[in-house]
Amino acid sequence: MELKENEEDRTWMIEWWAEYIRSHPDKDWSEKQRILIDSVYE
Amino acid sequence: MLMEYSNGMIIADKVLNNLDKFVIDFIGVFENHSDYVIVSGYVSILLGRSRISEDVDLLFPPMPKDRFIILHEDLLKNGLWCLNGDNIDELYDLLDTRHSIRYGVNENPFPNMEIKFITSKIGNMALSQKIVVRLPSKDINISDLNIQVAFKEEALGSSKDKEDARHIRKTFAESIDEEKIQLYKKMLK
Repeated sequence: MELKENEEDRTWMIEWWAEYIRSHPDKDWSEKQRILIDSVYE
Repeated sequence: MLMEYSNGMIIADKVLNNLDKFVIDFIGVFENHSDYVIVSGYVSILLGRSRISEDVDLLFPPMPKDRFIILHEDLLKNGLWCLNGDNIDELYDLLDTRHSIRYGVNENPFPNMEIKFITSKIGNMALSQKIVVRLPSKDINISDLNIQVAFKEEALGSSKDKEDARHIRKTFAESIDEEKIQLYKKMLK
């Protein structure tokens, strides 16, 4: 049951982020993505 | 500017991250030697998915050994190194037997570019129906979004792959063709 809820929560986040990308300028969402990726690949 | 897709091209006015820059630098060398298409996880990341990846998958048409040697040496000359070793005969044999080989930059193993000859019908379709992502400084060839979704959902199918597919489905909802996805899935079975 916990696994199922976790999957639902992850799906919600993916859909939230996709909607964010669709409604915000590229420079906005990609800067947020850059911070995430560059925290790993300096 | 909002990311838009039309006529086989996605225009993305992105702030480039270090994974994008790695791919751009690699492609800048590779495309002088061969056609190519990038598939799988990095396609979703390029198009906004909020995760990282240790590698990027690149497919290209089989080439004879003499051409591969020139490609390999050009990659090395431009700061890349091959994780699989430096014996050119062994590297080519790997490619020729349907394996992949990987290149990193500046002695780092991650991220790396995993390159592989195209040997399947779906791989050939990915190449022939590739689309272009136009970044501020570079065009990158990626697989058609419907092929990408089908491959992620049908051939791979892990939680991560399904999430990558969902990201594309939601971000490019108007461009997704469910009939085509089902057709590609049949080809993958």
